[in-house]
Amino acid sequence: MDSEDMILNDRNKAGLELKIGLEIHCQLTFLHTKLFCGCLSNYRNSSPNDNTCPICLGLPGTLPLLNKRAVEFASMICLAFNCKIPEKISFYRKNYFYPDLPKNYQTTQYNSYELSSIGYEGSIEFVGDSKSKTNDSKNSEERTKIRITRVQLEEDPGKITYEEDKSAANNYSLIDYNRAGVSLVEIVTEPDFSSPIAVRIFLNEIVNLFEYLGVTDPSLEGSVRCDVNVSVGGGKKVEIKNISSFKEVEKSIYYEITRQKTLIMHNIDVKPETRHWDEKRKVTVAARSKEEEEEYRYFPEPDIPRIILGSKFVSRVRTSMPELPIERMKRYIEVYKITEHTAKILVNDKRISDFFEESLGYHKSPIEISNWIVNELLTKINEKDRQGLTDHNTKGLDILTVSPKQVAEMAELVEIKSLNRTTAREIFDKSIETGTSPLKLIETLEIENISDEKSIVKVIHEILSSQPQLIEQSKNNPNTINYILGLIMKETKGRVNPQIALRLIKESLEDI
Amino acid sequence: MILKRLYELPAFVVSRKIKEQEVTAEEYISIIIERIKNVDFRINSFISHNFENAITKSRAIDKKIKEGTNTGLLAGIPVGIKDNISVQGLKNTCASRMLAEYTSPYNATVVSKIEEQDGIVIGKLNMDEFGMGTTSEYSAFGPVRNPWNPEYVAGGSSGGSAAAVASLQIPLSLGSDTGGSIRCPSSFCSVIGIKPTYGSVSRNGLISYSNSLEQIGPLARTIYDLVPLLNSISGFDPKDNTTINKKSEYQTNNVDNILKKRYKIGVLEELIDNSESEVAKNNRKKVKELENYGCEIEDTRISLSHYALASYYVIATAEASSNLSRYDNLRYGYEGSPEGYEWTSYFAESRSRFGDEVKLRILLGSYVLSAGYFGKYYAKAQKVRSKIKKEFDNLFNKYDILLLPTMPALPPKIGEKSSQPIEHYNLDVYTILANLAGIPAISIPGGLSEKGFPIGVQILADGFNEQKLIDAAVLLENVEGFETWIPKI
Amino acid sequence: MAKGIDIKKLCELAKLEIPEQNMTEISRKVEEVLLMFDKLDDFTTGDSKASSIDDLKLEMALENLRDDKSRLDLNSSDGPWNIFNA
Repeated sequence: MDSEDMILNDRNKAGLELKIGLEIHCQLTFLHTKLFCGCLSNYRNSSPNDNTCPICLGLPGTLPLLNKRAVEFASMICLAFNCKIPEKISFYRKNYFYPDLPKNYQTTQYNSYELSSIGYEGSIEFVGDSKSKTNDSKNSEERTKIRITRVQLEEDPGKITYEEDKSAANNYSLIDYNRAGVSLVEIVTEPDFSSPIAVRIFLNEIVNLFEYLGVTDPSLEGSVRCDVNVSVGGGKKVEIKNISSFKEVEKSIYYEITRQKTLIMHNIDVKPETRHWDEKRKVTVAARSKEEEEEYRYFPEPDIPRIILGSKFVSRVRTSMPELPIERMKRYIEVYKITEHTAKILVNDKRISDFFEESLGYHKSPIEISNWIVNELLTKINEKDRQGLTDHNTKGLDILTVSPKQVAEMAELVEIKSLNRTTAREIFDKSIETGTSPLKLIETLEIENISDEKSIVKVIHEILSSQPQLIEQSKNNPNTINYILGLIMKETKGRVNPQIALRLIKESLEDI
Repeated sequence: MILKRLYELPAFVVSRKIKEQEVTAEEYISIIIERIKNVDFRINSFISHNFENAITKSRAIDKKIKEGTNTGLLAGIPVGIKDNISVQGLKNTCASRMLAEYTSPYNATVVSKIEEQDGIVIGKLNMDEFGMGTTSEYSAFGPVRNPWNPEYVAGGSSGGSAAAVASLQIPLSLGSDTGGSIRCPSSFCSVIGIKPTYGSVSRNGLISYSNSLEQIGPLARTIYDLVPLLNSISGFDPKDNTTINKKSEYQTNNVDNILKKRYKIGVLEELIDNSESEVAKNNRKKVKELENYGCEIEDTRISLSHYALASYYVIATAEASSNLSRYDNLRYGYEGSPEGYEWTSYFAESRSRFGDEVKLRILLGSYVLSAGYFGKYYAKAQKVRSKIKKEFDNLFNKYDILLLPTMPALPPKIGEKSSQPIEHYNLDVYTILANLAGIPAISIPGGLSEKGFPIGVQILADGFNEQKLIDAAVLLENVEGFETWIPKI
Repeated sequence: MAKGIDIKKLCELAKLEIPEQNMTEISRKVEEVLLMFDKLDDFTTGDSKASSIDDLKLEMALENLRDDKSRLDLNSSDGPWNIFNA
């Protein structure tokens, strides 16, 4: 990341302000049907063009039939982004020709002529992740506030597969309309990001948010996509499209900053345009000019009435909404007395947080369990992560075959049976490796801690009777007790609780 | 009654005969098919036929009747369908070369409803391409000819729907009315045609020209045939979010009962005055007839009609330009392959198959919606539209129905107006008002001009007051039976 | 306003091809109709209150929208198009 840091430092020196805005597209994959017809929202298992009907193919005479649940899902997203929701929403047609659009227009929402979109004027705060920057972690703990311009509900186009990557070399391209008409929520931010890192953290944060809301499965390819606009030094806005993954988002921004800064350095104007991210060559390439593209001839969709949400709608959606990460974090801190740091790590990934809650069902000891998850489990996941074993936009909990019950049992062993950490770790590793329950492991391996005091006293007496000089030494030298403890540990292979043993040694010496 | 002349009778009479097993549905359909074969080569009202299926269907209806099973409102009655309304398995060309090979995989809701009432789809009817025209000259299948004089236009855009009914080929048809497309040909051919209230008939399956203006509606030779078809097709449809759940059963009341309602009639005298003299004379005669019934009559006016034409054509072309974007011959259309093309040039070449009038309207619509012009054209047109609606609201506080001519002029000769857009569009001035306001409107035969051309009278009522239009039609039909005005063909 | 329309650009926007020999006629027609459209410039609403751009647009309560049910649940037997012919 050295060169990337250089770019940013450079930016500061030159005094060029960096403004980044995002357009996030999120498929509502947890809907059963598409936005305007009864075809399946899950198009991913169908043969090409099988998951289609006259409506989503735009056959003559068909009319859009808006999906009620899509409106509700989109509203949940709006509320999570603290957007206002109007009492009425409406739809617009965005007219442009493209082979992946069955009607050669997209039914969407548009706010230039009236307030039509499901959400507007929102904002969301997030805390920088201390892992992202090593040296100035204090700075990155600051809360960043991103304003949300609007949230709108629209239809996804179909998908084109090209014979070759270079369009000029193509003899043919294939169109699959299975995706056409799938519900898409577009979230447009103000240009409030000032670094590519902030963008990355934000994107991780909102993917997590989508997961909490239960509206989309971000692990599905293409379910969450992102366009970026970048302007340097108050210059013209350049939009970057066609970015396949969040990792590429960050790279494309770095590239674009360098490109625009180079232009500025040579006194060349930055053109307001749309550029495509070429993933193979890692560069942005100019697309059509902005003027031509903006001739979208928007007008109100005549086939969909204005939808009255009503005044009670927002409160109804709010009560039906699942717990959001920020709410869950608050609960962990207040009810479970978990530290903010640990709570944050837990809620940062819904599946880990759910894992935690499920573990609590087996053994209600939030602090011990949270420690096991954060200190032991996540370390293992991160190791695997670094080996590049996970993909897409999510973290890989599935790569470890651990059940919440296993973690709960570990916490129980440590707490109730006073198992020491080293042994506990050994058992945990073995448990993960074999899938065997830790409680069973401890029986079979017979390494259960010696916690009954009589056994320990017996060992002490054995030691003292074979080395009686220790009794005398102990009266003059306080370190003798530690020496005796060492002998006990050796004898029991470290299976005794040192605190208990120390007390028993003292008692034994006094008794004599 | 000679069996062969069965096609002359009103549908409700024949349907009763079929139900009473005086004739079979199959016999009737065969006679109708024979009539179409004998007559239509002179009229050109059909684009495609559905004869074989119709015969099969008629046998099924006969079987039902023999078995004593109940049959519907339209038992055994052939209905012609305008070629922009989808019928499963039939070609659906919209009279366009663009859709020459397109077969619909589904039924429009109105078609399903007709079949539920045991009506029989007999074929698809000629029209102006995509409904864009007032004369039915802009068809890829040649112009529809007026049954009263084949040198003259039948009116449009549902020219086939009106001409086929007027020339005694079929008793009933469906048309669609975006700016007068049912009423204009009804007037020019001397049939009765109604444009229902916006949202009262499903548009699912109607190929959109201008979605916010148009409705499907029935055409017939007598109000007694029109009402059962209107009852069959109206009502809420879960497949069209713009339909309204407000179904009422329309009746053909007897004259005395109608007169008891003491309808107050507003006459748009200024618009009568601005029409061709024979049209004006005829409409005044109609006013007189209503007056003779003892109806209360008053002159009134609509002040915004001056802006209506611009408002209508801005909205219609804007919506059309977007609706017609989907025709790129990639997924359906006509024989042709995109092989060897870059997609933009393929689209442009495919779309060059639209007719000239369609192209003109697409260009106009694209222009009025383009960046910077939205406020000047579309938003302004909508303002005019809502103002016109308010003006009608006020008028209907005072009057039950309004009377005006359907068309300001008699049918023009084929070719006479087709190259002059404004002259052509001006023919729509009286019909577009109802579409802009979303209110129901009916064109009722009024008689013939000196040279024997039909003249229609138009009646408007407030939204969902179709019953008043039907009542007015019953009154006028009872003065002189419409069957006296049947073209000799 | 109606004069000087760039028909070629408009054709490009609407993806239409118009043969060169028809250009003059179509341009004449477009301009003629736009001139009629310009009548709207004379229209003033009178009331200063800025109304919605589409007063006449139908409205529908959210509750009346369709449920998120797959077409397979529509208990119909006539194949993939059954949302229509159910």
